[in-house]
Order: sequence, then C-alpha cells, then structure tokens
Amino acid sequence: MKLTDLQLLAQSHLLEGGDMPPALQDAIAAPASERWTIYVEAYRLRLTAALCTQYPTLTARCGRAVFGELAWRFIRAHPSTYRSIRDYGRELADLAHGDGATPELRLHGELARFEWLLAAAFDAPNVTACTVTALAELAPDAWPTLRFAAVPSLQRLRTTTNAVAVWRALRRALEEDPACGPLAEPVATDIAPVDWLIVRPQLETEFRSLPANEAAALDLALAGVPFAALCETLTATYGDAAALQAATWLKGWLTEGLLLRV
Amino acid sequence: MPAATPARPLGFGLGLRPAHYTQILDGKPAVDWFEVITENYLVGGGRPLHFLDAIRARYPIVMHGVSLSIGSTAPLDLHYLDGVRALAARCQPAWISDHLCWTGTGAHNLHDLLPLPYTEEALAHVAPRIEKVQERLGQQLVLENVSSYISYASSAMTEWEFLSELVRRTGCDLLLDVNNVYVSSRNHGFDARAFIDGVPTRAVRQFHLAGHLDLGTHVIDTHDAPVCEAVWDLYAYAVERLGPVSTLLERDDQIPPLTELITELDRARAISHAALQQVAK
Ligand SMILES: [Fe+2]
Repeated sequence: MKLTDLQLLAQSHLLEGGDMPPALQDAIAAPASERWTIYVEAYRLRLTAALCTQYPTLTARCGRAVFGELAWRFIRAHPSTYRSIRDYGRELADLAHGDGATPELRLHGELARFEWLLAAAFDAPNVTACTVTALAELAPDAWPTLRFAAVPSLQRLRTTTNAVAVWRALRRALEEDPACGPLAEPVATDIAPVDWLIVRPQLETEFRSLPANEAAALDLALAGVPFAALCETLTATYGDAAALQAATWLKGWLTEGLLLRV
Repeated sequence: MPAATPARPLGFGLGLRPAHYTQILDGKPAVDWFEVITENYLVGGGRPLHFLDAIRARYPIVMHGVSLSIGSTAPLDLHYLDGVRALAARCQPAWISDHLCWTGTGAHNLHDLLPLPYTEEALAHVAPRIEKVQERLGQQLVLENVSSYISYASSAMTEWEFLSELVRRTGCDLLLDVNNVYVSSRNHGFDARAFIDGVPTRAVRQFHLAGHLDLGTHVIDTHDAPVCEAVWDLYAYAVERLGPVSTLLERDDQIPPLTELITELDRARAISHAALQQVAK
C-alpha cells in the first residue's frame, strides 16, 4: 500500500472509530495489530482532555461522564484542523446549547461561550491601547472624525441566564477540588439579558457587565463609527447631553484599555 | 543544508510547564535549560509569551514541536513553519526539534505521533521534506524517535537504520528519547541497546527521559510518572556510547512540584557523571 493510502486509511479509522478495516489490518504487522486500539483510544482521550481543559466549568457543571459524551459527539463532528490543540473546540458552545429547549442547555451554551472568550482574551496579541492622555493632545478639529477599533483581547457576550454567576461558583468549587462536579448551582432564566465585556489590558483578564445603553454605544465605537456620528446617535436618548455622555463613556473605555485608534 | 557547528551540550534540563512559571522566576532553580512545547507559544501575546521571554532571559531554551508532521503525505504547513520561525527569532532557541512521525493527513491533525513504515518510499518522501523545513527555518532540524505500539507489514529496515539514513541524506540531527527506545523495544521485541548502537554518534544532539505505563504485555508512553530503572540503565548505556549529550526530563501529566523534578534531574546528572567516568577508565 502506498504511504498516502496508508495514512488516509489509518486516519479515517481514527476519526470514525468502528471496526478495523481489513486493509489496515493487513498493513499492520502481526501480532500487534490489536495494539492499534491504543491509538484509537488515545485519540478520543487526548481530544476530550483538551476540551475539558478548555471548558473546566462546563465539565464541572455536566460531570465528567456527561461531558465526555458531549465531547465525543463534538470530536466526531469537528475533527481538529489546528496545529495547536489549544485552538481546538470553538464550536462546542453550539453543541452544548443544542436546541436550547431547557434552561440547563441554554446555561451550558453560555458557560461554554464565556469560557471560550476568556481563553481568547488570555493569549490574544499584545497591543498598546489608546490612552486618555493621547486623546488630550488631539486637535479639536480631529474629534468629529475620530474612529476606533477594539484591542485584540476585547470580547463581547450577551447572556440570557445566570451563566456568569454559575461560572464564578464553579470556579470557586474547582479551586477547592479540581475533580469536583457535577455541581448544581440553580439556573435562572427569568432575568433580563446582560451584556458582558471581556478584556486583558496587561496580563490579567478582566470582565464586567455593561448597562444596555453603554453596550450599544460601545458596539458602535468598536464598529468604527466616527465620534461625531456616535454623538449624533446618542442625541435620540440623551438630547443636549449626548456629547457629554459620549465623552464620559469614552474616557472610561480608554482607561480600561479597550480601544485602538484607526 | 550544511551542518552547523555542533552546539555545546546544555547540561540537564526540564520541560517548561505553566504550573512552574513563577517558581522558576522566583527561585532560580538549578536547572541548566528548559524545553518548551513550540505550539503552546504560537499565540499572540499574554502570559505564555510574557513568561517565555522572562525565563529565556535567564535560561537557554530549546523549542520542541508536536505538529510538524514531517512524515505526513499532506503538503508541509508553511504558515505553521513561518510561525515557528518567528517564535525562534523571538526566543533564540539553542535548536528546534520535532518528531519523526505523522500527525494527520489532509487538513486534519490527530494530535498524536503516529509511526511511519520504515521503507525506501517513506525515506524518499521524508528526506526532501526535512530539507525544505531546514531551509524555511534557516537551521538544522532535530528529530525525535517516537514510542510506537504497532509496526507495519511493509517495513523493510529497522527504525534506527531509517533514522540514520535520514541523517545521512539531510544533515538533520537526532533527539534520542531513551524512554521511547525502551517502550518501542518492549512493544516490538527488539534490543534497545542495538538501537543506541545503531544511530550515528555525532548526530545525537539531545536525550529525552520520561516515565511510562508498563502493562506487562506491552508498554505505553504516558509521561506521567518518574523514569523507571530499566530506562535509567539504558540512559547510562547511551551516555557511555554517545557522551555528555544535553539531557531533558519530560513530564506532561500528573505534574509534581518542581523540587521533585529537580531531584529526579539530579539523578540523571549522577548517572551521566558515573557513566562518563566509566568511559574515562
Ligand atoms: Fe520525548
């Protein structure tokens, strides 16, 4: 068998499991062909372990056995194409959420999304964010066209359950006992949606909730809407105080290290 | 690629693991060098690169990859190689290593180190790829023998003959994982010492030492336990034959406190020292 065919055959068996194809059995020297299962099992275990590392609180919420089943469904549906296993698992939140038929499923989806975004912020590129001081030196006629983009670590998320409160409780429990779980912090879905902001100004990842008005304004700023147009949009809600409100938020965002000038 | 001037041995090192970052920086432990998993630092920024830079400022570093997939029949991932080259420019490793294996084909990565059949076809496939990688990285590649659980019916030579031929054709160097030699020798029933006798002496740039799981009928490479006595014996034999080669203790799972690993590393020092004295006599 040619090397190309051998690799395709071996790989498809690892990805799909099941019975060992006769051609692969022939390619592997006897009597060790049953040891092929070491690779089959290692594949499942290694990718599952990577997903557990990526999603520690979802793992604790579900318990290892249930999470393991979810992980295997995910691994079958999304084989890794990444050089680094750290990049594997982004779409797990969708699978965990499923049809969202129960509050618990919605919680799983949001926990997973939150954990993925925290990880994305954790090792995002380092940049020097725009500062209040830098803008203080700006000529007055440059303000109307002033535009921004998000620093690479910035992530936004909207929750419709108490996922972040559950995340906090699970983190505390995991610190005391890394093997803990399944943990049943009550799930609440009768809450208004909450917008979240995640960012890593230096080495530590930070997050906070955003009031709805601020979230809407921030998203406009992050989309590159010029400052004058942002103020204009805010006039509908804030009238004459729109520019002052925009300047107040902007100062806060700059202090938090959220923005790059473009 | 012409062979570089042989690097001086780095001494006795440990695999760098995040759990030990602050202890290494605060305590300046008696470790001669650290080996980093290349892929863990192919990131934009944040803590991984912060600690890599800080530790690199105090210790020599070697970059050890797990995703090169030099034996794959899929095209080389040039984007990945450029990332490796950029990381090397940043941390100036003493050398760059990966494994003689394939990790997937097509676009897939199985995140495992799968063995190749030891055939002329595989040699003719892998050797030009090593040359391309060495060109792209602008330096020699150091390739490690993997632990394996199967062998292929088509293999026409031993693993060490295959490795030796790659060295001859490409000028690459070798990372001899003493534990992997032991594990594979048990699984395939060959003489571990014959493996060590069979590799070209001057090409062995580095040793790996690690623990495994012995199931009696076969052995699984787990990197989650201390080095076993049989591997220490084989290590002494390797030092006697190959000299004071840079030695690295690997632990990837069940990672103990740093002090425990340093005690184990001291044992490697002592065994190496004794083996070299034995040779001098
Ligand atoms: Fe190794």
